[in-house]
Amino acid sequence: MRLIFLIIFFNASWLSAQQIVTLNGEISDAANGESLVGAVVYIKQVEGGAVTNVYGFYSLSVPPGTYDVEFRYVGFNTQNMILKLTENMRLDIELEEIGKELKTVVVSANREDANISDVEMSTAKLDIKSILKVPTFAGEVDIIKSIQLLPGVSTVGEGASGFNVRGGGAGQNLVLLDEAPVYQTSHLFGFFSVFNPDAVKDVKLYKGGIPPQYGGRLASILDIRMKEGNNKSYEFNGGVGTVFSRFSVEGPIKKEKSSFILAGRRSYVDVLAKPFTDVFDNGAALYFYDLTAKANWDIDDRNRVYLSGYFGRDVFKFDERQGFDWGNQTGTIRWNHLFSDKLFSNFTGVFSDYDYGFSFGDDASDTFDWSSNIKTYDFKPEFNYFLDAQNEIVFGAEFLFYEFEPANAIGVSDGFISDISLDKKKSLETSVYFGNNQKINERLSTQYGLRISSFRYLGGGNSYSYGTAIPGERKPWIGTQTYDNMETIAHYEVLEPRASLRYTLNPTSSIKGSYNRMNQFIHLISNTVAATPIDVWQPSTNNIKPQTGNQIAVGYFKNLQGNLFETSAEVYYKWNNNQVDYIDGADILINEFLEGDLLSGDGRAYGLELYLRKTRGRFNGWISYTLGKSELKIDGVNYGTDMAERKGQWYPNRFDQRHNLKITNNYQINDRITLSGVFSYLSGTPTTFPNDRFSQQGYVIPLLKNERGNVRIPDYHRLDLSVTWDNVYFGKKGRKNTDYFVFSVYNAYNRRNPFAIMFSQGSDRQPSDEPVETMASQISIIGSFVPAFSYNFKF
Amino acid sequence: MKKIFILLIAFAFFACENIISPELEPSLEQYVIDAWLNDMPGSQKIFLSKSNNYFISELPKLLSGAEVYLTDEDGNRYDFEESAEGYVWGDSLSTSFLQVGTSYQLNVSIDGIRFSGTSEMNPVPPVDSITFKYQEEDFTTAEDYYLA
Repeated sequence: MRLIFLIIFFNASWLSAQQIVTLNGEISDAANGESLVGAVVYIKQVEGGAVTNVYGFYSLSVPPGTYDVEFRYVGFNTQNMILKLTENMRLDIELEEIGKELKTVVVSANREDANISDVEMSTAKLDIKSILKVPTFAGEVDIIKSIQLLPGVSTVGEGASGFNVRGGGAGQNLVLLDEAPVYQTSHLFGFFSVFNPDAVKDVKLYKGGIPPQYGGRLASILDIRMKEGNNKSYEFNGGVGTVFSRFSVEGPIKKEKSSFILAGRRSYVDVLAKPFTDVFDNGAALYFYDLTAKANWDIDDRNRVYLSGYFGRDVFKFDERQGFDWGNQTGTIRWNHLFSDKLFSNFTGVFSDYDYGFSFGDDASDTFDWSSNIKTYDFKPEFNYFLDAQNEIVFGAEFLFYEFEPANAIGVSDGFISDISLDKKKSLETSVYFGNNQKINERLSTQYGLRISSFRYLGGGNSYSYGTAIPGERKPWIGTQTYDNMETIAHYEVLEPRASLRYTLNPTSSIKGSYNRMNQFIHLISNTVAATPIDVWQPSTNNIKPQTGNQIAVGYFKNLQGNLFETSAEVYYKWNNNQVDYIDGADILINEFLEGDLLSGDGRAYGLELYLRKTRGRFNGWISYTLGKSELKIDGVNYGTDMAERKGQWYPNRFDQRHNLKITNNYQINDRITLSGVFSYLSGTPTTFPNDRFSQQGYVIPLLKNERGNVRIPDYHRLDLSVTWDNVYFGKKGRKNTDYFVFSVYNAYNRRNPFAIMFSQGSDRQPSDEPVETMASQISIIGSFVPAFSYNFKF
Repeated sequence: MKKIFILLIAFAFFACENIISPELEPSLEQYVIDAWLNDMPGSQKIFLSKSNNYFISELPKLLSGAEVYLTDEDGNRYDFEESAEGYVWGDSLSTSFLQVGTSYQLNVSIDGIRFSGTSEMNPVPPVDSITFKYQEEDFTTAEDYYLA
């Protein structure tokens, strides 16, 4: 930290020697007061400017003089001003949205040529207004499904949890909702994501070139920012869909000073079906809901406070005693404070609780209840120092405290109660970081920084030591040491350098490169890719080291025909250490000695991402293609014939997908009707199947080869179609009220994509002189096309 | 449990199930020695075969030309003779040579490879009672049934 302040101090004193004035303020949407993230302030005379940060704040320092200043944001009318700057000036700007006819942009960037001119690469920004027309399952707008249409992002298949970025696991993505970590992004086993699009303002995915303010996961950061709420007038949004309905209300608490938003969704299969079936009479339940709330107060020009919360839950019960349930709860409090015209600060306090569990049992004397949770407390001071038109410095710190409850399990057998719960685990992750966005000259811009993190695995409770075993076998427990509450059991310190640069070749093309190192201190241990709520999160301990990831990426970006077409090609290479896998026959659930079942080794992933997008016109859309490979090398797994040392050989991990092709098209027939189609093709991911069978006393026994991922599941492909009909009821132009109706067909050509493949044997009793039948059957969750509709309104 | 979970999802959606035959690598052809010996009267049988691909539903084929014998702790040797049903010691009138509490070593030589294994014949715990429990139909089963 001392180093950071020295740099700032040095720069500040250097600057005071010159005559400099600062222009700063906020840029917001004139219609509802929502701050605009990534809006541009451009000064012609200095050929440079500033971009608003995530709170809509900008600051720009120039020598005194008269300047032509442009305020612009894609989809909004640009405002031009001639400003005579003789002293520091605060200027809050409101931009008006452009009329409807031009608004067919789908995934929008900050500026029309932002993909060329920004230093950032391997990132994608989604504007929530613009993903409305992408057909999705059950006609619902879905953030996680939308980002899967971008290059480098994929999923293992239907009903799989979360998403995979550049060959990484779902547990290697950090998903932040207003800066609070969200551990489970799926509703209903992966069919819907937990984020209500009505309450989301801005989504940004970092696949590479990750700036130093983020850390803690290897593969990606998905930063979701919630709307602040209309601070001018009341607004109601809602939708009635096939699976669930949504409703939101937002409005000013005190006009233009403070506002709120409250948005909720709930599924209603259970409510609608109740009169027709007795399935729900014995206590069975099948529903999910989420509630998102946010409020903000503009105290004065220098202070603003935000309070936001999210509560979501899935309940899935077969009867009164048996079933699954899980949910996330998050709360965020933020305080924006302007120390000076150039020094913007934000202090964030976060609480997040993810709990999940299941229960089984026939009656009160035979039950099994298991639950688990992760509580996260986070405090983040963050500073933006707008040094001059060439440098924007960011620095800050993060204090993250985790409390894991790996298993809270109570079994009752014949009335005999046994508590097999495991001890809580605590850990503290602290980081400090520093970074600078520096424009070196007209052509070359850089972004560089360093994050220093430390992780402590804390008591109280027991920590175990394990002996050595043949690689791939369970490590024997050899000792237990008891620690006091908050006593350090294991301690790790890591350095994470980050750097990106952009070199502009000409006004329509640029090349970019980036390097970043990431560390992950908490690990998702899962034996399935399905979104079952029984995954286990495990902190780094004295036995499990933090995962380390390195990535280099290089890209070429080119726009054609006046930004009508955007193209890009990126290659990436990742090399990771301390990747976690488990031994054959590992016991993941309620295992006090889980660490003895875990193995660690190296990982690598590399690939090529191609992207072509037509940004405007009646016919628009994009094609994304990824060619990728992702592998692990762990001693004790896939050692082939090396029986002596069991040195592992490279084997594909569960997210290894060779091809990933997505084609998204929109065709606007007229003012009101738009047709859309999305085609997805994903190569089958590896899995481990028995290769052989043999008989033992007439019973067939499957035989697995000493090789993980020996078989690929069938390829996944699907076509979804939709029709959007705008202004169904509220027709007339110029009216504030709008509505639209979506009819969609998911899986239009009846493809039976695999969800689960099960190996089984004929169950009938066999005569001893006939062989037992063995077979594999594939379950497709969606085995036919699924039509759905939704009606959405705003008034 | 996984099955229940799939069943319920299947119930809620448009699921379907197909028999598939994923491509597997050629058979590993591992030797399988199936020796289930006891102290009951009659012959003792050991079956030798090789593993085959998972989707080939065939009765295992007997490997012929092997030398199969057991030795006990005192060095007595019991040879098993090749026949159509496997490698056999004795006939239906024989009294088993195996005795509870004794350790035996099984030796098999085939295709120039020698396998051996040791096991002790342990007593079986006596069954003192059997109870039946009525199980109501639930989501795991289609019908009511009795559990012994």
